[in-house]
Amino acid sequence: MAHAAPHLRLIPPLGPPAPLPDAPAWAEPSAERGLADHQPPYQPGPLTLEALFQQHARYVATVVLRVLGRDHEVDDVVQEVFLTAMTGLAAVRSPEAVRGWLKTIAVRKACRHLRRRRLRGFLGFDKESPCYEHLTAPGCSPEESALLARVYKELDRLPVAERVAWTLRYVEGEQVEALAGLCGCSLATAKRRIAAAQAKLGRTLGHDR
Amino acid sequence: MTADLTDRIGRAALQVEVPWTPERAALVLRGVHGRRRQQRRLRGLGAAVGVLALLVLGPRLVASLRGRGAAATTQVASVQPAVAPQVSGELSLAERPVMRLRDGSLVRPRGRASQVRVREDRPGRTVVALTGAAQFEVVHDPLRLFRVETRGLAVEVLGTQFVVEEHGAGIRVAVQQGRVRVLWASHYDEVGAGHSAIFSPEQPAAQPTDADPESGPIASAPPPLMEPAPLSARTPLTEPTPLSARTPLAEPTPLSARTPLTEPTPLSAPATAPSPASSGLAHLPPAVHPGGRRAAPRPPHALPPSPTAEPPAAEAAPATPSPTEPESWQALAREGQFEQAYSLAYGPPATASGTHRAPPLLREREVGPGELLLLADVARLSRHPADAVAPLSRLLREQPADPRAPLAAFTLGRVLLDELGRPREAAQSFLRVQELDPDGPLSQDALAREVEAWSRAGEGASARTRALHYLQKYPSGRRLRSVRHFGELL
Repeated sequence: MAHAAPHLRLIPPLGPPAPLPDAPAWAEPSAERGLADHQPPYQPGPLTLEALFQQHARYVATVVLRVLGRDHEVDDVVQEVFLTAMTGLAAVRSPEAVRGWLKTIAVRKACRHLRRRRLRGFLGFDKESPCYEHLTAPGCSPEESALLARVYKELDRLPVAERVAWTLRYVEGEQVEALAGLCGCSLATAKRRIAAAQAKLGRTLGHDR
Repeated sequence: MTADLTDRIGRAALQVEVPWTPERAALVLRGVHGRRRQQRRLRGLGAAVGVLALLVLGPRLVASLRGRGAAATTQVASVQPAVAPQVSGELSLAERPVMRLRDGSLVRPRGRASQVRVREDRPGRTVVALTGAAQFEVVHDPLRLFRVETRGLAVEVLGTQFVVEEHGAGIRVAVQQGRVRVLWASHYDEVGAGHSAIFSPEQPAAQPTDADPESGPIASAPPPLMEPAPLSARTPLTEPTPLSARTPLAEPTPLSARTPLTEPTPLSAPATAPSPASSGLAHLPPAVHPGGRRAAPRPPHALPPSPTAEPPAAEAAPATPSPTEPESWQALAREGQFEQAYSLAYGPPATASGTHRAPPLLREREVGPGELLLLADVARLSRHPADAVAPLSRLLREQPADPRAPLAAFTLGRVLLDELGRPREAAQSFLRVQELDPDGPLSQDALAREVEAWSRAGEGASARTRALHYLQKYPSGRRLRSVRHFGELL
């Protein structure tokens, strides 16, 4: 866990105080995880849609998939991300910042998509039962696939803001400060959302050990 | 949830990977291009619709915001177009066609031979050409000139309900509510609520008659002049006001102070038997009588020859020194040329905008209430509302007992509120209207506008207090909605 300031304490909504676990040991620079092999080298040049798409589409798709958990919804969101990016492309001054900028757009589009999905479910238009077992790569162990499927099923029950915050923290491996920027909320709000999601998931997934 | 579990989840998440093939990437990229094209089409369509809506609705919107028609138009009474003009006789109330103008004003031709044509020859100017007789109910709009023209005589409306009808050789104007200004040749006169007068456009005089807003049949010969109708029949569309309340006759200003030249016609005097004073008026400019009519300032040289009449004392009196200048701006004002009238009366426009200017003639000579009102009208209608404050304030200061003082106070309130954005002073003016004529025809509107003025001045408590007073005084008043809104009584 990223250490909070000494005068701050996180107070979970229910039960005894349960400190947030530390960041996972695997949490290297999260945005690059699993993508390094597929990352095309950066080629300086004019920022066109095609160039942007070629360089960052896979990365954006992966971020969106980790937030949404459903592969067949990824393409729509990726299209929306690049459409939005095109409108602000002229304002980009540093090509190094494009990736973070695209990730911010992707997270927010994914949030909106999740809210729409929730609304559709509330209205009865989203009757599909998602199959999260095929989310992982073929080489993954059955236990890990089952665990991840269970996690995403439980995430579907969480409020969108808490779900996205927790996913970015423990699935995507973001630092809390960066996560707050991606979600467009304060650091305290980000921590509170993560703690709330953690508490809820802990009650259902805690027996999986 | 333990750290071990989150660690396991994180390691499993490493395996989450999009099967991102070149074919899929191409498909997604094609989708992005397709959406971009769709966005552009939608934006173009939206812009086209917006431009189209602007082209179609823009002129109307501008016209409605300015409270005027977009272009010159001609309207003819059309509710009952089969009125045979060659048949004379009075139409019953049910038979009368009603023409509703764009601003909500109503025109009801009264005789079968009556013809009414309405035109807006330019924005802010509605001219009604009348043959025969018609009843008018005009929505008050200080920025609009509403003028009825018939046989060389014009009636300018100051926001009122009145009847104009041919009456033998003359033209009878009967006012039920508000006040009208009658103009003919180079003269003008005003007729107040509850009064009527017969004007002869060929002669510069009016035969004053007393109140009968809506008399009986007009086509029988010889036409009866006065036949009082029940009050309830006089104002069919608005709340009838008792005649005694409408006519400011209870405490008239001593006439000698205002018009030493003529005697007022008593209210009870029958119009068919004109008093010596009224017969003497045949060659004089119309004089003030208790109903609020006044003599128009008129140069002696404009008087037509009248061999039978004695030389009017007015010409000897120094009350209205009449150089040629006053008549010229007044004549221009009567013709609706307010900009030119303003230039003559007030001098060249001021360089600093928003400054108040008093016309030089206010300093040079005594100016009567009618002339002060006309000065204010000239300033307002030539789009110099700030300059209307001086003549109106002077009228209220020097002639508070004049029957036109409530009108002046009301006009001042409107100018201050609507044109100059001084709601606190406007509220005081509207309050003054009620003090000057508590039961007058303007009192209800003045109270309602006072509520609005206090509200706009940020005086919510005062607005609410006055709104409650309005509800108490006029429980079914015509401005309830506005009063409730501005008094926050919703």
